[in-house]
Amino acid sequence: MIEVKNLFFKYNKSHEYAVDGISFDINEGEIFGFLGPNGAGKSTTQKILTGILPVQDGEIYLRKERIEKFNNDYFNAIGVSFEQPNIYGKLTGKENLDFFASMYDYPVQSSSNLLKMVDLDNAANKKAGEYSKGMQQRLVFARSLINRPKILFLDESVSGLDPSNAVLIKEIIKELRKQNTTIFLTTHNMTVADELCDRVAFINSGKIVLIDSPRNLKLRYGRKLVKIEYENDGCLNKEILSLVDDKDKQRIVEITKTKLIETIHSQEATLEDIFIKVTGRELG
Amino acid sequence: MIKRIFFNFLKEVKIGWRGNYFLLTVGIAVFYIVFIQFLLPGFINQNTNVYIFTEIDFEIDYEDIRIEEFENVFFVNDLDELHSKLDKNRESFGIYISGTESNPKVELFIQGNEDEALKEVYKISILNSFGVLSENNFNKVYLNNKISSPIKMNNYMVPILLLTEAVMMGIIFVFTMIFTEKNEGTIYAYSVTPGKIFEYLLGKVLYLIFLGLIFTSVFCVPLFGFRVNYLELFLVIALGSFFSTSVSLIFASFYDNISQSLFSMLALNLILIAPMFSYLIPSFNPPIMRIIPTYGILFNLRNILFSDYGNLIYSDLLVILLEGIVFFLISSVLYNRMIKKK
Repeated sequence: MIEVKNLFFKYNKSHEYAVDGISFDINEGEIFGFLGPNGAGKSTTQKILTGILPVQDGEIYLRKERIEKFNNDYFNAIGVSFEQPNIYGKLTGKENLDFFASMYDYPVQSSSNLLKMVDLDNAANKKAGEYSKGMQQRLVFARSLINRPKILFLDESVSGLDPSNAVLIKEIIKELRKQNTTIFLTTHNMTVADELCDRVAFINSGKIVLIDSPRNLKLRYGRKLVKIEYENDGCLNKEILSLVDDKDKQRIVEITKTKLIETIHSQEATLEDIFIKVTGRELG
Repeated sequence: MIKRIFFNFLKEVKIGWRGNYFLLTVGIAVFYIVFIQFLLPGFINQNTNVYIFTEIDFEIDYEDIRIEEFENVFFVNDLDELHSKLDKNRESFGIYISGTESNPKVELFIQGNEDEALKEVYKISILNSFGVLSENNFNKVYLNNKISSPIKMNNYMVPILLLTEAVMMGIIFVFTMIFTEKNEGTIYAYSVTPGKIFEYLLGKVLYLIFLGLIFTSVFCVPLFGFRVNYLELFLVIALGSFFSTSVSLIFASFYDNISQSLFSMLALNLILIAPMFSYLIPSFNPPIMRIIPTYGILFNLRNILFSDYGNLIYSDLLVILLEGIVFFLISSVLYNRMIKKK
């Protein structure tokens, strides 16, 4: 559905690339997770793919056709849910959706149905500025679906929601996948990515360091890890080490000989563990 | 495109209504009606002084030097005093008479900023006083058959208030609207829809024109009734509002909040209201004033409200329209860039 080749992006005053030669493809009907810590280049990539930022260098293909310019056909086909709840505070929830619906060239979804879908039907005629942050986030999510998008870009759409609403949004995302919607999910929440994504890409310092399905990643890294907690100079330290990597095996021996071990567990790697393992960087 | 512009306009109307912008507009108009009708005097003393230094004993009818009731004539003792008086009073002009009684030489001292028409009036008045122009060869020709009553000072202020409120209302409102939307981030949400930035901005421009026309209607109908050509009045207000809003959009694109933009906003206001000085002081009419677009707007408003001054000057309106279009296109480019920079 979407193919990205050697994409670069640098902000005006920066010497470093925010996006540094990344390449990936997303299949039709797939949920593709774009994971990384803050400042890794996730949002910049999404902004390029949604036409907010220009393509400085690199190529983007949609259904094998190179996108030279983001035109109306493209904007009619995509939906974007922003991390920040960017809504008109003085308009009601329904008016917000109706206004954005009026911008599209093709028939759109009913705003009432969408509000009902995200459990905001009772607040449809309330000013959006009076919504809680979670309600605003659900309104932004509903807005991204107004044109029945073929490609949906979600930026931290589930993060920050209370558990019951997070479940609701995740169910809608799963339902959209069944309807063959292609979803580009940007998040730093590995649990959400693990639950929803068909494949994930780890991005760190503007570069993609790994792409695979969560299952394959866990098969590759899981059951071969050991988590050791030990005391060192009065502090409790934690290390996750591979049971197959020679360097890690040597480190395990070293710790058992020199440190006071408090706990030791073999474990299945989470995506977060794998990310830390691959990039050496916490997600925070 | 038309549909999107309409819905952008409708959105602004809803937001404006809930933000009490309409109430504010009507409130200001009502306040100005009260101000014009009850607080501003109908006539004020606005005499121009004429200083005369003569080296010859020469009988002239100094009353002829006075232009209607607007000048007072004073004699000075020497040329230095004449200069000093003129320096102290920039609204005055002077006459220096030398030579002989049979061949008098007259020099007219003017400040330099006077309107060309006013300079001619001074010259004719002096020639008249020396008998060069007499009743036989100097006729007053009234273009209208009726002699109009003088325009009251308070009514004369109406074009200025229309300029500062109806036409330039966009300046402060646009800054407020743009900063609110930058803060809300809605412009970014809009930028990923098929809607174009120029449609988004045009919605704001049309809304501010609409507010300007509401102000004009509420303000002018009670003062002038229906003897004014409202079609022409609305046309000038709409074009003026289009121009001032487009300029303000450009300025607002560079800032994120009111405090950052305060200096630019005030500077813009001061520049655009500057032609008011030429309007209130006809003798102050330097060329720089005439190149400020609001000069044409202000004097056309005067011509529409007080037909004695002349007709609507369509070439002025065309220039304002073209300037408005240029500034609007620049603002569209700037907002597209602004989104990509943030």
